[in-house]
Amino acid sequence: MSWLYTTIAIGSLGLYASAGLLGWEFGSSAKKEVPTSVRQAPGGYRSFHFWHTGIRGGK
Amino acid sequence: MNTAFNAKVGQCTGCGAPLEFKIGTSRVIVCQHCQFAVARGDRGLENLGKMADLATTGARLTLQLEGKWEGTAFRLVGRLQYQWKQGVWDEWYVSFNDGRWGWIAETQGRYYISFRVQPRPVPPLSALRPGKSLALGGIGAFVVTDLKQARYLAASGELPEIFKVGDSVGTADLTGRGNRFATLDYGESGREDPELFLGKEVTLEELHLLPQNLAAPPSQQKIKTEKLICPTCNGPLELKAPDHTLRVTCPHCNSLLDTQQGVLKHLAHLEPVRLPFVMGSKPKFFGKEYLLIGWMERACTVEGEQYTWEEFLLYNEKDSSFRFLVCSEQHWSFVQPVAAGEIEEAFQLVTYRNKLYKKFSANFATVTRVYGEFYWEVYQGEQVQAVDYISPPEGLSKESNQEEVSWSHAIYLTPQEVQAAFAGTGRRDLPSPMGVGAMQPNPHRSSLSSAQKWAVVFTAIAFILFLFFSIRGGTVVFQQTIVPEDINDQNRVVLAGKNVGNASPSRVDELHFPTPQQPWAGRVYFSKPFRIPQARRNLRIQLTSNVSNSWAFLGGAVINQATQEYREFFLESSYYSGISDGESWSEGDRNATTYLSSMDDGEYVMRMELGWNPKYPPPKFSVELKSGVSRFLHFFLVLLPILGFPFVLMLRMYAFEKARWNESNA
Repeated sequence: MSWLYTTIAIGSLGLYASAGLLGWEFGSSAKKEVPTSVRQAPGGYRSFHFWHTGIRGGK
Repeated sequence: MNTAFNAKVGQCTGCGAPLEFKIGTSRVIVCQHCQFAVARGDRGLENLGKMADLATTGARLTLQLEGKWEGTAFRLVGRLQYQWKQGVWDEWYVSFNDGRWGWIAETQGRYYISFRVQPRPVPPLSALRPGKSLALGGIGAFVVTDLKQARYLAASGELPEIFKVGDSVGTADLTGRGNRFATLDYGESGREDPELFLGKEVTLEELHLLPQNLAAPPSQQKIKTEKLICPTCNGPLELKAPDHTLRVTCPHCNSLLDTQQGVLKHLAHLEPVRLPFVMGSKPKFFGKEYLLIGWMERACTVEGEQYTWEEFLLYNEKDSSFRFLVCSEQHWSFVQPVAAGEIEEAFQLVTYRNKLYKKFSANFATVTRVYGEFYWEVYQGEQVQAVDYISPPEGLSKESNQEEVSWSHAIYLTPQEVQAAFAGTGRRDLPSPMGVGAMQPNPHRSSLSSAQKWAVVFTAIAFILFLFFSIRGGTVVFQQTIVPEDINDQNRVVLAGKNVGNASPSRVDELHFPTPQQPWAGRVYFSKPFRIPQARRNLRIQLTSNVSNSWAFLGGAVINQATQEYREFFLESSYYSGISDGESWSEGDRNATTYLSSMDDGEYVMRMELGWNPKYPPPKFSVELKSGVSRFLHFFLVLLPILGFPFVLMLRMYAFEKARWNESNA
């Protein structure tokens, strides 16, 4: 039982240290890239149609 | 007590053989030729009559044996045998070199040395009960362990007192802490000022009695057992502990037989039993070899339900002592007697050798079945009050009736340990224990103890890491407060708040007007470029608004200018409050935070799509980006397994204890 606990605890501490040192976050959005076609278009990533946020809002 | 008598030599009044009192304190001498007892007094020698033959008791001590007690040499000069309902015991008259005399009692492999002391005021014999505490003035506290009505049986050698064979005496044995022992001798008439003998339980080593001078162990003494024939079935019987056995069952016809009168006497017919071990097996427990000589089943009734357990009687042939191996629901324990005076009782607790035991059960234990040999007059239906105390893996048991109280100490054994003890006796596998045993060690306790120690270490490491990340701190890379102009004014952009570093708001790029499908008003801003100085750091994005009973949101993205890589996020700020039924309430949070994982360093632009409830004027938006933020959530998450594991173990430990104490009726 204690080896299991030790393994889990050391693993957790390792994850914590890694997250702190490497800036890991849970549930962070994935990195995306602005397509070349958008980059070459006038306004680049500032164009309205590139950003499609959909319906948002509270109650 | 030193008392000298006149006559030192004389002639036996029975056979005329010369007699010599070698000890000045002796009053009686038993002629070794004709076994007449002769007493000396002021008027010469007096014939006390012929002595009966000494009973075979398997005694290890012998007349003329020399030893040493507390630095003073002694010699055993006389032997007096008492008989009571559970057998015969020996009292050895001890003469010391310094003129003192005392007694050494020998019974079932146990030895008690005692000296007559000044009587103390004590209750009459009729007022004593086994288990009663008794304060002997100036001596200390004792516990009454048994009350006996015994009679003189036989004697040899010299004796310090005049006695008559057949006379009975009432005695009370007491024990105190530190193996102290005392006897109150109330005599035949139960006199009010009983003689008091004080001493302690001792070992042969403490008496400096050399093994080579002792009588051979009973097993090696040539006792003729082949003559025993069952009176019921005429089957041959062999007693394994002939010096102690008072009851034996016939292995052929299951008759319970009495062995006391020299001939076997049928007492009852018993049902045959099936035992896990063969009688006569020689198991070894704690380095000592025992002989399995008896078995009995006992039962108690709790709330209308009968519980049974088995007790195996073990006999040590070397020191003539007895032990029990107890099996209850396949939970085993090794039991040995302890002196009542060593136990301190206090309500539901008792203390023995500085260890606390909790009361577990109190029942009337009744013998339901027996098999083999017993050193007491066992019978079906024999009942005692039994109180059990536990301190796993140990336990104490108090058994008492009107005549005696006895305490025993038990230690838990696993079936594997019992099997190992019986190794070579043919027994292979014992069934697994059922449920939780009263003295069964909690298997989670040691795991928990170990886990708790490690949890402290792991928590300390986690805390040090948390401190390190906190002290290292983060860097605010962008901060801006924006109050969008009213949505109906499409030509002006109002930006408020201070700029941070090189970050400052840029122009309005888009406007959003509420529609039935998207009922929110909004504007999109692009920040001026800002820099994230260090790679592999998280990025905290915080939105704060001043909404009230409304909502606002920030949908955005941070775009790496060099790589054109971006990450999107969404934050909502909302706050509602009011009074319902006279009570104020609020919900929501004006602050919203999100984190982006492991950002690259470099120059970034942030797209901010600010939205709000179009029924209200645009709120004030405050946005802050901070790189390299220490996360308390991560610290908390790492503590979950570190502390959770011991917590689960603790729950399991308590569940185990609960199951144990569910069986308690204390």
